[in-house]
Amino acid sequence: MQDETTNPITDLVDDSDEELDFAQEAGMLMLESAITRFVLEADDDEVQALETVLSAHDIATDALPRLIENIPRFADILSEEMSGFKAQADEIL
Amino acid sequence: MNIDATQRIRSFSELRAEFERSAQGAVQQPVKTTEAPVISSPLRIMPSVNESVGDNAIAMSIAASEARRIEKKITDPVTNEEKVVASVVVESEEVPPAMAETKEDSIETLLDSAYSGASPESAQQAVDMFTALLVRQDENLVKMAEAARVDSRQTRAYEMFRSGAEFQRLRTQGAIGILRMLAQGGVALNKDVLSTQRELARNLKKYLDDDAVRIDARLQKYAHEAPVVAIVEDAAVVEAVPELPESPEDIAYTALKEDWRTLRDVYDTKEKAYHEALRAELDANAKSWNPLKSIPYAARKMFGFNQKLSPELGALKAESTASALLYRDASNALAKAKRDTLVKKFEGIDLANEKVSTILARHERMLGRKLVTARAQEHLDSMQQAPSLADHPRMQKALAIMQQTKWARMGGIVGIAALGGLTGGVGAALVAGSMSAGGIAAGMGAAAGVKAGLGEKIKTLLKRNAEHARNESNTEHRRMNAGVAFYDEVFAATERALEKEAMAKKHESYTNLAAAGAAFAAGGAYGSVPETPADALAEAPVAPSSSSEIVPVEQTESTLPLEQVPLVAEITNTPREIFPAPATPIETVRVPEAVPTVEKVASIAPAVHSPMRVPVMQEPVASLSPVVPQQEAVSPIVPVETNTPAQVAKASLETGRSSPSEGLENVVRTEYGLPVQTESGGYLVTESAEEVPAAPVTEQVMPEESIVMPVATPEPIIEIPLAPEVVATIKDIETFNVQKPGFLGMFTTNELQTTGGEVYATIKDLTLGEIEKLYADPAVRTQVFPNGVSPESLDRWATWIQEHNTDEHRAYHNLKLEDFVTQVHRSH
Repeated sequence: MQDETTNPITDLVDDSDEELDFAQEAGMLMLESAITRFVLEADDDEVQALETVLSAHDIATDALPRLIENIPRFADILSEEMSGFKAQADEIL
Repeated sequence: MNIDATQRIRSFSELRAEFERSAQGAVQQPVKTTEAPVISSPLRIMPSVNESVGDNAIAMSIAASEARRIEKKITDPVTNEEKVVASVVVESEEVPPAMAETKEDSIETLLDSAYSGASPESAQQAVDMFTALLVRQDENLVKMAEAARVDSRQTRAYEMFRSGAEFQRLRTQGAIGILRMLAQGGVALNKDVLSTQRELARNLKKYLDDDAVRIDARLQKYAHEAPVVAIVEDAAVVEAVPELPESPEDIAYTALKEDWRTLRDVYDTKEKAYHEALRAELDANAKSWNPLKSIPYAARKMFGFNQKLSPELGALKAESTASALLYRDASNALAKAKRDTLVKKFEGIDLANEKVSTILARHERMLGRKLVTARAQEHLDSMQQAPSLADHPRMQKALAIMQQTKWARMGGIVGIAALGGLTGGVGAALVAGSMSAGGIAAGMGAAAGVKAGLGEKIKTLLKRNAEHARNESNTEHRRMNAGVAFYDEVFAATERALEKEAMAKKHESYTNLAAAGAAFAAGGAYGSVPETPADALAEAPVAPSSSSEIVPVEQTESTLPLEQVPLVAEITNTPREIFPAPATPIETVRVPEAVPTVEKVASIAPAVHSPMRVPVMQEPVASLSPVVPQQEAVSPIVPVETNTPAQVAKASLETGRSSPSEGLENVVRTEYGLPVQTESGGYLVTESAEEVPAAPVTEQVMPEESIVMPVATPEPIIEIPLAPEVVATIKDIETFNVQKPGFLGMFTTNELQTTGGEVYATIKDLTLGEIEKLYADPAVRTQVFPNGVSPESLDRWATWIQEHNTDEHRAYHNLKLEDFVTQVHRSH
């Protein structure tokens, strides 16, 4: 169980909208890149699987773990995109 | 990509020192850094509208008007021989069309041959041509530097050209590298790649030629005029020379700002050039894409943020990154220079305080983030819009999937995990680790776990983004927010905040209020700046104030705690922004029996306003009376509102009395139409009317200390149960936030202070559905909150409730707020 007093996410993100806006904007960029890459690279069955998961889970927070668990290629691509984004961000930050 | 591995990034101070050396002529010009100017690039965007582009425009205009004349002297593209350059003064001389065509043809032929991969000789010739062009650029820049040394009018142009030259040099060196490979033979490059490179080289040649034309035009323009430095020796003309800035700090700031603008433009140009090249190369690599198969590896490896770039693209990206760092450093240096100018301007005020440090630190942090996201967005757009990809069914499919709001909602989770990785937090295992699927799942779990700490803001954030996804293209939305104006806004906000802070330091009488105004004006997130005018006022130094312009004939004295004393200007009935009164210390207030009307009091606001705009919440007018100094303290607290809205509603229901809003002419009313109650229990009235006495209290209905307004509500729309013990436990925002961390920020400090924390207590037993109705229905809202609800609070609640009721958790619709807080929210 996570210790609320030493929650590193809240420590680094703090509670301001600006911080969260940045997190959300960065996350959307990573997701968009990962999804585009996935659809371009995956075969039809994998793309269909992605759409099926999305249809089966109305709640976003449920759908994302399912996608990661059930579609390895998507998980790999998302990981790569997050890693790539981090590397690019580190160049400037 | 490791920037250091590709090119050492010069610091801003180095650039600055180099420029100063060249401008003063004290040191020989650094030839190696002088290259082609950037303004000839079609990729360059013009400076922002608030920027002077006079010299640039002049240069462009000259170049356009004289291009034909000067082009006659352009050297042979291959040999770059001086013979052609010498013909510059022969304006009437015409180059035979056939000769010009021959030149163009020879260049085209040379490039065709060089990039065919079959003619090493031609490739070597092209190498020589581009090398010669670089040498010519160096020479031209040296001439410009010399001209700038003797004629100050040339300084800015030289700086502009020189700063842009690095970009041209890198691109040219990239082209030369490819050509050398071809000249050495034995290299088999893809035909499409060669075609793309050929086009890039062709454009480079044109750019370099155009830059040479413009530099020549610039030199020619002033060649027939006496240099400014010579004129300065004439005393009569000295007076016409604009005055120098008053202080060294001003001089430094002005110079730095010029550099900052230049570096900003250079960065923008380089960034766009890199993405344009990326788009072109991706397009070339994807052309062989079979629609029935996945994207070719050559294109796939370039797609996304984890891309593998060709050497030339890598060089372009490295240069763009370097320019981004220069711009960032220049911006940070400029912010500090701004601080120094303010210290000088306000005669030595102390701006070395924590607040200013916070402002500067925030500027640095936020600017970096804006640069990151702007680049990433442009990067993504470039890839998605590559001509060979944009119209392909698979790309269309990807974009269609992206339109689903679920992705927008997931973005927050991914972003938090990645952001953690960026700074070594929980998400580090997700981002910096092995990046396995399990790692991601763990990261997602961690991200979900932090929701308890981040509270409902995460959901609100996702909700907001989801709304964007519904209503518009996210890509379009972000594109609108990206670009020069996007990251320039960070600096502009910082400057405003510094100015306000300096003004506050200078004018102690409204020190903290002005600082608060600065924070609100600049975005409201400057660390220790008070959140509300009341907070600011609480920090204000205590000193006697002069009498108010309105002095009631008879006054009832009472004393308020300082932080609860509202500003006079707050009664101007302007819910969002008003001109507040100076934050002169107020120890006591006198509530006049003959209270001035809202309109009358509002009329005095301009007389006491400060230039700062401060957003305020709607306040009960009874607590907003004019203030006068008073030494004696009568009572510690004036009960602004002695009975809760719920009590009123309940009393209304049980007693069946008439509504306070009916039958009371001349009564001062709140924004929401309800009469304003005075301390004595009556109502505020206009000057022409007597105070309306309050009705007696019905003891069996209300608590002993409560005062019930005479009400005759036709039909109570909703009954609000109230638990007094809960009210007692939530008396201030600190207590509230400790106990209900998930609701941090849902109520403003002002709201909690003015209602004694009763807002939550009032609605805690309502279901979320009822609360939604309460906030959505103005009639109910005014019944429950007779003092009004701040627009900010209303917006927050509307968003929050709408999400919980209609989006993710329909089951919560009938769940009581307190149950939600103690059960559902805690589990999030």
